[in-house]
Amino acid sequence: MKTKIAELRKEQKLSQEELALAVGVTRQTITSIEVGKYVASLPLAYKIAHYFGRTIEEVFDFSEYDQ
Amino acid sequence: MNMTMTDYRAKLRTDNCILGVGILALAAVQVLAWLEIITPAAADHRFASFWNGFIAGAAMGVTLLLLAGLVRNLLAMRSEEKLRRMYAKDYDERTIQICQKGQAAGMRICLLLLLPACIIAGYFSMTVFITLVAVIAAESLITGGAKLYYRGKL
Repeated sequence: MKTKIAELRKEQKLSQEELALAVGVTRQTITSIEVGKYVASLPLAYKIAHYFGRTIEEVFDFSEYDQ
Repeated sequence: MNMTMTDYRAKLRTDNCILGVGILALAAVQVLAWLEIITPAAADHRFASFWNGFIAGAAMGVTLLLLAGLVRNLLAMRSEEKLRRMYAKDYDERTIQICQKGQAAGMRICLLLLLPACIIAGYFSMTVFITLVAVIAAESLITGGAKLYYRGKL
């Protein structure tokens, strides 16, 4: 699943480590989410979106699930 | 898993108590094994000596691991930053998923390998054969029981 996490991080000059600590996961999890290898759970997706002050749909790309 | 830092500290305190008891118990086992106070039922002196050495060594290895865990917990509890990092590492959802999938696959492979091992062992030793059959039965029952439990829970 594609996400805009990397762009949002760069806008706010945030490292992966800082974001990981803020949302309660490891840096490796943030890396995996950014490259699309791992799909975040709903609570984690909400925490990440909420951290950036955005909605889940603005951060995570659900177009592959559209029929 | 959502847990406040206060709950996490309480959990670590409980873990530290368990680790402490474990360390003391294993230290006692090491002493008993080195002094040959506890010996295996087998009459052979060489095997008894080997077994005592093995138990003492294994107990020492596990003791060191438990000590490392205890020290890690105590150091983390001194710093809020370290505590948050440890919490993130312990409850990271991706790590938990990796463990769950790895363990499930590992259990399946072990069970498949135990079956031919059991048959081959049967040609050499009845004791080993029966032990392996017991292990296979126990693993199958426990796995089935765990699946039933989680089917009801989730």
